[in-house]
Amino acid sequence: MIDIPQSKDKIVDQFWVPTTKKWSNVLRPKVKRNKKLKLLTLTSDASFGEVTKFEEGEITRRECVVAWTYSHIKKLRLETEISPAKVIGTARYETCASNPTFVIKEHFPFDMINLDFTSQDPILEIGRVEEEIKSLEDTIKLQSDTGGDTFILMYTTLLNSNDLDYNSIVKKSNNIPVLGWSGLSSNEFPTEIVEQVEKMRCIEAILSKICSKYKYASEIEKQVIPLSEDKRYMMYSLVALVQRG
Amino acid sequence: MVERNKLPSLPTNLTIMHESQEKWRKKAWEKTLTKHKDELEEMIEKIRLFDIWSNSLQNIEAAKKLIPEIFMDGYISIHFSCYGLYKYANSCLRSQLETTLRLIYFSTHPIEFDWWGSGNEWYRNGLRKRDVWGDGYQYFQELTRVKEFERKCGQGENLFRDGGRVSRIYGKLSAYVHSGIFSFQTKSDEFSPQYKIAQFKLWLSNFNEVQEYIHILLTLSFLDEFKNMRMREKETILQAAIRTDYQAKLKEMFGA
Repeated sequence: MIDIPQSKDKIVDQFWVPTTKKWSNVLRPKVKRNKKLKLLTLTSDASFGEVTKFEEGEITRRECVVAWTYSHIKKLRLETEISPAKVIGTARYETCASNPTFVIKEHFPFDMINLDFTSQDPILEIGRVEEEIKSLEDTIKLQSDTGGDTFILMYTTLLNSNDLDYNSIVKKSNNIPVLGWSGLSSNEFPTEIVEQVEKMRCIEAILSKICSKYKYASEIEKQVIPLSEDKRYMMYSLVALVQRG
Repeated sequence: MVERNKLPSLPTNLTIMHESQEKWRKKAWEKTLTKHKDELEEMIEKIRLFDIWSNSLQNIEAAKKLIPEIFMDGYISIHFSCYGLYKYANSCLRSQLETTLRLIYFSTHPIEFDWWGSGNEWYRNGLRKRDVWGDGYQYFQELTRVKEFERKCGQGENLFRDGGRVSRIYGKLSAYVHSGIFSFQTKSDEFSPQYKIAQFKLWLSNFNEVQEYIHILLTLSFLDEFKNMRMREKETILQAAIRTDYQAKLKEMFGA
């Protein structure tokens, strides 16, 4: 039985909060230490611990939070729980991020972006993680287009036994041209990635390259929590400090 | 009790309203939930289907604005019925159906959608009928896929043609909006809102019918988007909201 909310609590306490606290100093130099960071968080009505914990840690406050959830009924509950934070969404983030009329476009840029795809009750089908990575690039591009020079990016997903299709990721990324960028190489990883460790290595490498594509330098830390005893299901989370290079 | 403490001291009439309302709301809500929890869970599952549509119609501006409203009409309809407010629960259903018809029309009329969005429906002055879809829902009857679907339907199964099912339920729900005598919330011996099984069942039947027609109409109007959904999502919509014979007709149309 996979218990995502319980694992999320662990990841919030042990990884997201300490890592963002450490890096938030880069976003808030001494003279602006009290500045509250603007947060975009992909979250769930049943488990929104990051909002509370970031608030307790004085990293942000609810007025500075934009939350995304994929379901109407969850949006209703979440809005009741975390108001005055803005709750937007009602469709899966990855299907909306590339839309030219993306509803949260006007809220960009953010200081912190938490794309926790495990909060969306992921449909464990082939191609899911590939779509998520595509939306990571859409998000980084939006940050870049709207003048987000330094930010913390968190990406969390559920890894299962489905292979990771490296070619599909490369193709999706290379479909977004950037002047002077030669594109992701299709030879760096095998077409189908089977091993969990290799999938993680690939995702980290791609994230770092996508940041370079938009002229950002990135520093990445990760945490993995097995969700099943046989380790077929894993919650995999990355926190990256992204800065104009 | 906690809520109560947050309130300031209330004037007389408002105190009467507040205190009686707290009681009838609690009584009706708990009775309805106790007696119909499984049916209500099914209703909520049905309105959750709009999440799937919301996901699939992201490229249609009208859908982004109107689907949340269609969802909310369904949600509030359930809410009202659980409080024994059946007249208003049924009124919400007409609004839900009407907004769906608007979505279908506006999805291919973006300029009219902008005018409508800004409250400037000047072009309606030139229409012979109050609604852009004309007499007897002529506009929808002429849509190729609706026509094709209706050709497959037997006697009495049409959606629009010959006083079809959508037209009939719309008329029935309009009686609640326009306060037809049988739709009254109050009776001489029943004034405060309360759970009534007959009224609940009637509303439940209207609710199911409306959800069914909404999903059929959305499927017919956005057939390509429907085809592109995940197999599981398509099946969820068909199984949860649409009766078997209509399901079969739709499946023929999208080649399942």
